[in-house]
Amino acid sequence: MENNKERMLELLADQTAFGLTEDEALELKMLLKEFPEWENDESFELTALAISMSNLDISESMPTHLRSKILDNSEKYFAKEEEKVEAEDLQPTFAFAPRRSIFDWLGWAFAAAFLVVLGVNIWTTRVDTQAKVDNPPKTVTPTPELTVTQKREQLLASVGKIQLNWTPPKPDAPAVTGDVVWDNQKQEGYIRFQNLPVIDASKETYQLWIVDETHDPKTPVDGGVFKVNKEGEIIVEIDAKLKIGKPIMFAVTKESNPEGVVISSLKGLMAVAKV
Amino acid sequence: MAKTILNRIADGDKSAVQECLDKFGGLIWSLARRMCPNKDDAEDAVQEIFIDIWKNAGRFDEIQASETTFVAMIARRRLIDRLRKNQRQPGIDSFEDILMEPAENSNEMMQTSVEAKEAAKALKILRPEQRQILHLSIVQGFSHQEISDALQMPLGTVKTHARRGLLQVREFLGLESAEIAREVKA
Repeated sequence: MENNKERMLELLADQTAFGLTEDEALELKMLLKEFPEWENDESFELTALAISMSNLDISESMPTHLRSKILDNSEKYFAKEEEKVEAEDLQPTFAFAPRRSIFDWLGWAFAAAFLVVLGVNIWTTRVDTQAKVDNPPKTVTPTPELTVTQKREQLLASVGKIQLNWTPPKPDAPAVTGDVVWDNQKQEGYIRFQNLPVIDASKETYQLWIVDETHDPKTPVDGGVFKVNKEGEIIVEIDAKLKIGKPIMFAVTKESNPEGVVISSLKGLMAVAKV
Repeated sequence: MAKTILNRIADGDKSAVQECLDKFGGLIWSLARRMCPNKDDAEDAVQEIFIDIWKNAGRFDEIQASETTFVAMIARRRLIDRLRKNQRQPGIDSFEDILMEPAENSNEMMQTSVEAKEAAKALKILRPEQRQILHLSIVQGFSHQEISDALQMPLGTVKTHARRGLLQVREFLGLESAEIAREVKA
């Protein structure tokens, strides 16, 4: 018990000082179940805030142009908020219909299932069997699987997609061009690169990361690994390992483990695309 | 009872934005200047922080914290997130600047809070390596790996110093109990 509490305090301190890995966050979550009184503890955050503010030099005032920008931003922000409120007021009334309990729906589900069984029964017992022979089922020609390029083109035409250009992580980093197309509703997306360096697939891999606002920003979502074995344009389908709530950044790293990594050191950061 | 600035912002009162800037602009700008690598970055960060403040103003509860604490917490979280997201690969030169201890007791220094003053005192009683690691992690947003590389110190030792240092400062500030009033007084 005492050891668990000590470990919990260590993790709370680590969380404030460095952030936690996914495993550590999970461990802390479990420990907090044992000590629920610490669930909403902010004492470490407050300590960090006090440290951040200690010996703070506040002699330099905020630049005037920045103040003007913030005031402009506030105009835009409040105008958007007002639009939202107006839009909510215009919602059709059925949007507020009371929710049905699952038991209400179960009744309908049973009724629907019964009708299906009844329909099948009537079909098999009453329909003229000769008709079946006269009207053989049509052969369905399988639709050819779309290529990744075609799927990307299709997604580009969708209303809900976002398209972002890759930018180098540092000004002196090699220029990598291309883009990300992502549709959050469909949870589907593609990354495209024009000149990502070729790598030795037995030793290295490229890995995509998706920073999601609804997840801990310290633990971006693994978007899949991919290789580049030829020069020129490549398109890769995004393989997000978790549901993405609200993407705020996509990033590609080069990892020395050919299978990819759980946590990237970000030393091999190649390109970023911010939403 | 008069409404606070944050309550008024939450109610969509645009005139409160000016007051919010007057009251907290200097503090946020100073925090951003301390925690951002350059002025341009600090300007971007401050704009984001104010948007965060407007978005979160409705969550402010004056029983829980003062407005200054609430605003400074939002600012710090945003700044530290930016630092951690900013995938830098620091060279020795950039570390040299960062490893420099912050200046103390300058006439131009103004203390913004009672707890911040206490924290400054508490930092002095820490061992130099604890103080240095807390500065690098909490103020500069460096990861334990980056600190370990820069200081040539094992990863576990970095973590231990950070934990002990943080716990000591927390205790010094009287925040050691989760039930104690949570406030950094302005």
